[in-house]
Amino acid sequence: MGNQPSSDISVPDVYDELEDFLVAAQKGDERAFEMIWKNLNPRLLRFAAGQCYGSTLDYEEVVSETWISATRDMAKFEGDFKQFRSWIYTITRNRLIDGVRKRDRQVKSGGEATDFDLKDRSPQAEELIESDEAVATIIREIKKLPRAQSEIVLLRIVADLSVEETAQIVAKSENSVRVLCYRGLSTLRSTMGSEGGEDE
Amino acid sequence: MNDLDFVNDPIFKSLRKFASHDGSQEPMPPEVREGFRNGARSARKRRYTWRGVLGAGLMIIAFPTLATANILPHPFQHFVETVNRVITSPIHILIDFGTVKSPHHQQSATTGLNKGPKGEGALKNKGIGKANHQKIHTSQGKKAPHQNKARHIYKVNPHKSAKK
Repeated sequence: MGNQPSSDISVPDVYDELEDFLVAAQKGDERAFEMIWKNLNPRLLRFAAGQCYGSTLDYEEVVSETWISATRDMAKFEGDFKQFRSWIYTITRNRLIDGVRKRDRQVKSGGEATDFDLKDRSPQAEELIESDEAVATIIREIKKLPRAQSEIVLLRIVADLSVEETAQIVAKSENSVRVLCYRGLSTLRSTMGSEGGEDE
Repeated sequence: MNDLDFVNDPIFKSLRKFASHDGSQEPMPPEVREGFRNGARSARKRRYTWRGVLGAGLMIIAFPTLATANILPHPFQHFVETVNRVITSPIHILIDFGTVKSPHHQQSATTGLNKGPKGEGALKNKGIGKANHQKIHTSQGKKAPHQNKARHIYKVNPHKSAKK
């Protein structure tokens, strides 16, 4: 639905190939797993960066932990590549939520060590996002949306997931996802409509 | 609103460009690679353990059955029978022991004694010889108070009375 072919290769062909890689990776083929990683990781990193933008969470660490935890249970996974992709994003989302909670707990318990830890983190989402001003602007505006809306917009646009997949990840109905998308887009249009027009 | 309209909205143009970054040249981090290797190793271990347990269970069920049907080759047949005997003999002993010692058995034996003129006839009718009967009561010892009637038989037995 929402998945747009971004290259010359048609999407079903890519998915067929990736499904073969998934089966091979589940049997322990490292090369096949690397192919899957290469296909999913860039968008996953950007999704995590978008989610971590403005916070002190290390998005690379979140994604790395996601992959490590996915590899642990990969053999038990049942489903096609699309379901696998949804699964990976679900893990990332849960890790992000856990990370935010953990950070909140640290901040609540106070202590200078927390501030030091947070400042000491190496790759911040800002570095990646602010390399392009237009991207930084849109992500800043998306982050101003209610959490459910911003999350769904990022899943739909950055992760390139369909409504169905997004609904699965955020545990909402497809209609709710559509409504939240529409509301988010309306808000974004009203706040930065002129900038969007310029892009066009 | 169409789902595609949302994704293709011009407001997200820069975001789509940002997301479609090609990361195929980036190498996989070593910790992820290591994690994958560990995961594959543990999955393999899990799979073989499961298969082993399943195979062993199947053999445990199948071999005695085949041995009972006498369709195993001789060495296997012999082996399975030996194992069966070794496994079942302590169980048999336990069952016998339990049967003799059970209060129900004691009661029926005592009742049997009462039936005959001196108690012996009833026992003979039941197919329990004197010697066996003595054995039974020796195993019961003096624990049961209702065995007083049986005890006078011991006194008749010179061997037993000599011991006492």
